Amino acid sequence: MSFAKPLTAVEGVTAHGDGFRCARTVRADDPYLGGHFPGNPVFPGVFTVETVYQAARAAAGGEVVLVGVRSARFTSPVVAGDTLTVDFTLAPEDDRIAVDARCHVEGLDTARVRLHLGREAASA
Amino acid sequence: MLEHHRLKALLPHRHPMLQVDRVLEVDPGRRIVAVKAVTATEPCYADLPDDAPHAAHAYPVSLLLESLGQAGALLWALSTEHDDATPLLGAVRDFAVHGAAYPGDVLRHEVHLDHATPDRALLRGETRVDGRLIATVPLVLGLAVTTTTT
Repeated sequence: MSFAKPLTAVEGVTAHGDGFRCARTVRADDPYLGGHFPGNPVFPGVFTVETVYQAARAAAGGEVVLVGVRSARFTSPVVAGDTLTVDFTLAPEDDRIAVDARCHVEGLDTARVRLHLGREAASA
Repeated sequence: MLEHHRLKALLPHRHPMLQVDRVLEVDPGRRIVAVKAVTATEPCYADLPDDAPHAAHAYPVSLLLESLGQAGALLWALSTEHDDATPLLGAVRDFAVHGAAYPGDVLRHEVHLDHATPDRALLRGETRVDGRLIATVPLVLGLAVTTTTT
């Protein structure tokens, strides 16, 4: 399964240092933000996870799915107008791929997200 | 049981980000059971091409986590007084995805409150569809309350 996408969270992934980087500017009219929250658009923490997932999946070549969130810690809100930058690494771990991502807006850390990706063909 | 209109008084989230439809059971301070029906009319399915396979219709894990987290936020809100504070996801640990949900499925969340302070709640929960395990958070789901939402 590949999962539907609540929004296109990634506009492009590039090599960066030992890993990868992607950036995305949050807009008040992004899908779902009208309800999170009315008149006060805050990028949901789970969409930061979604951003890391979509970016890591693209960097890994696409044939992987999210099987777990090892840890995610949100330290500062991301709001409309912010450009969220995600710097991440991929590391093989048994039959999975470990993703370690630092998320920041203009140098201010907003989240640290660590995911596990697995091969496609998880049971539906 | 709490119908949807009651949930709007407890959470600041609104359509389409209010990801809980109904609370079936609540034991304040301890446990909640809440449901959310997945439908093909949700925004996450709007841009799927006509030839997208079944697997591409799996409900996004991010929204699944949001829905489970909101069930936890409702339990917290029903367990304590925190006025107009906005519950925000503070931390997640060991959230495991065991399966997928599709349009027509009803997510059934059961969340337990392990510990709460005025500005933080530690919860654990699981999500099932027709008894089939979809996701678990065996350790910690933290919700940080900020009264100022910038």
